[in-house]
Amino acid sequence: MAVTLSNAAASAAANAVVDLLDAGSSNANPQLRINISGNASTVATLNFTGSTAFGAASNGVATAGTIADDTNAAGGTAAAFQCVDQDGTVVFDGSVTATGGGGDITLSSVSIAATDTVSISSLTYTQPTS
Amino acid sequence: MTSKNKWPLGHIHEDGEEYTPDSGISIVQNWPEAEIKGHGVVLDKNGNIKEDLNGSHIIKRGS
Repeated sequence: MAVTLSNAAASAAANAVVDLLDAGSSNANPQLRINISGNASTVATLNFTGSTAFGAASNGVATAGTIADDTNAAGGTAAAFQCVDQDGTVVFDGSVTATGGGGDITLSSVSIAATDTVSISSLTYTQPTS
Repeated sequence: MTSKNKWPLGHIHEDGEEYTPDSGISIVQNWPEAEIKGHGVVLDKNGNIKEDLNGSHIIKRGS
């Protein structure tokens, strides 16, 4: 039987995960790294602005604060992403596809050239209640 | 002969072997899976939005 969470519990679970991004001692910002398949190399690096990556969750949904564009992407074919804390430790990761491709993050194009600008307009982390 | 199955949980036999009961009960924590949803856009050096639609093509921003 699957576990069912209250909204408060789901929010607490989501906060527990996203707050890990704020950890670290290097004073660098948490980052969202767009990578090629297998996270073998980074295509674009976007910084969460400030040291708090996500706001407090509501009903299990935590919404990222402003994420700065990478205006000078390294380039490559995007297929994966990692969210890392201030020390570069991976907290969670997932897939990247073109819009409509069903990825956790969808971009208008996964074909990113060097010097392209990559902008993330929205990012949420959701802990469902069931 | 004494049966180990009569020993209480955590009892350690004089030979050092700890008794682990087989209760026949297993608990599976089947947590709801977290979801991540993000959307973004890629611009080329001229500020045009790059899109992949059945391949790849480039459209002008705002078109």
